[in-house]
Amino acid sequence: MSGVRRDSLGRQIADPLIFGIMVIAVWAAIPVIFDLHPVLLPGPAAVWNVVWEYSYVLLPAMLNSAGNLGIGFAVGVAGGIGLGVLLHYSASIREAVYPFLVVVFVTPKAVFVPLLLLWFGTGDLYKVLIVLTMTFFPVLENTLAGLRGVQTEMIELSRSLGASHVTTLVKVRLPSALPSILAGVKLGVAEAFIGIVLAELLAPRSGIGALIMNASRSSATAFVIAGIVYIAVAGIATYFIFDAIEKRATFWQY
Amino acid sequence: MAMTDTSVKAPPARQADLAARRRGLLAVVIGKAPFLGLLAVLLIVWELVPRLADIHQIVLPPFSRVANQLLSNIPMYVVATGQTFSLVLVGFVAGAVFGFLSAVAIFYSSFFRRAVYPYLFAFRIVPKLAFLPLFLLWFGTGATTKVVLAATAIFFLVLVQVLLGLYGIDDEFIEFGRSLKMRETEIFRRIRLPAAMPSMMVGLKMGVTYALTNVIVAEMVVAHTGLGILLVDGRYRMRTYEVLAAIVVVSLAGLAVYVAAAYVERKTTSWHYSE
Repeated sequence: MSGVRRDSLGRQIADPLIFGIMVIAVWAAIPVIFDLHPVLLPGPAAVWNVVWEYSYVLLPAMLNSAGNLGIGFAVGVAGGIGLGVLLHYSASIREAVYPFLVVVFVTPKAVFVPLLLLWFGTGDLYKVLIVLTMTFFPVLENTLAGLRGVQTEMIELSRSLGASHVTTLVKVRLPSALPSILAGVKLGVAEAFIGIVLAELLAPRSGIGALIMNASRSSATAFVIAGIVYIAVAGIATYFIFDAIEKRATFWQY
Repeated sequence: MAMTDTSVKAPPARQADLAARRRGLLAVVIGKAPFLGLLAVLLIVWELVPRLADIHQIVLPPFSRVANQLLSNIPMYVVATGQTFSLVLVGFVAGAVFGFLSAVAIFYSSFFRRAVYPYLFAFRIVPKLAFLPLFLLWFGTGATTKVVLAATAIFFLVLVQVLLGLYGIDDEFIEFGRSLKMRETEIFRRIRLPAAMPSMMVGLKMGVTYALTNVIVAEMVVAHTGLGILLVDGRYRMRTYEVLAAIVVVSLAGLAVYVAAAYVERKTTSWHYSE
């Protein structure tokens, strides 16, 4: 990145640490200085206690959410890539279907919740479907963009060497589109996390979102913040796993 | 960021589009034949299947029932859309302004740049919707919670995108400005800001959809107003046609927002897209 002066490694590590400690110190000081009730703002120590002591509740709830999230995410990614390839090859299907996809894409997916609840109830299927729809679109968009960006010379070369359409797709088109597709998958991770939280907040039956929604209703503020910590850690960890996969799979770009 | 690009149509299709426009309305209709055909087929299937297969109203009301609900309650939907969008707008403006100012402050402070940057990138991934239960405790079930939730989503997106834009500027432009004896305020206004614009617009465009989502979810959880309550109400009363009508309204609203955002982006960063 141009325009950024090189900082010493020491400061690169020290400054974020100092900032983190500052934030926690301010957070700890506010309830004491203003004499706030823990329901309004529990201190970091109280939240930290909940994170550990109630891990036997929070962790299984997180795993429950992770299961639905994983299934929805996997199907959404597969569907997005699959439909992307299909739409890339057939102009008539693309022209017929694309306007519908745009409308669904720009619609906040939360609106489908009442309908899905009516049709499928508050169980796992409903959550998987919400996660799936949210993951699907960025992957589809980026698959289409990636396939469109493949150099025609490469395709012509591969065709002239006698490669079939399938071989060209697997060996030339998809690898060339891979950086774009993986960028879409990374966007999909963020969307999938929004999806599972949204689904569980709106039908609080199981999972981490339901837990914090119900904790909020019983004014257990420390518990709510602890739940957010779990979601944040899981989201950030998942994102960086996919970031590492992306860097590995498209090593020629780096 | 390909997913936010509006030029999703394949270039040949767009050329065909332009050519069709020149040939008049009939040609446009013919050009859109695959889409219009599919739309007609879907609407007919939607109308006939519930009637012929004797599917209960609760599961899937026929299309005409939904259309009727929509057309006979236009004022109600306009009011609800207005309620939701006024909250989205307030949150959007607050979040964008605050995000932009924070980005500039972070940009000019070397400590904060080093200290905050890693957290921002991590925090971008955390769904802001997870803060809804906390905001409910802090701000209650009124408008404040919804505005804050919308603003939070915009804030982080704008903050990150503006910083990315400001850091992405080629050093040569800044050198050029300095060689013309521009002061830093002038460099900021005439070089840095325009250069950061495309990146910021991406953030605003994504952000407005997130803000709409967050407000609607908040409305579905607690509210007594807006589009969210129409959706929830229809479900509780087992009136699926009301739910479907509300979905249509939100889709149209989402489409309007998207088109408007794309238009603003084109206008403010026209030089960026010069083809």
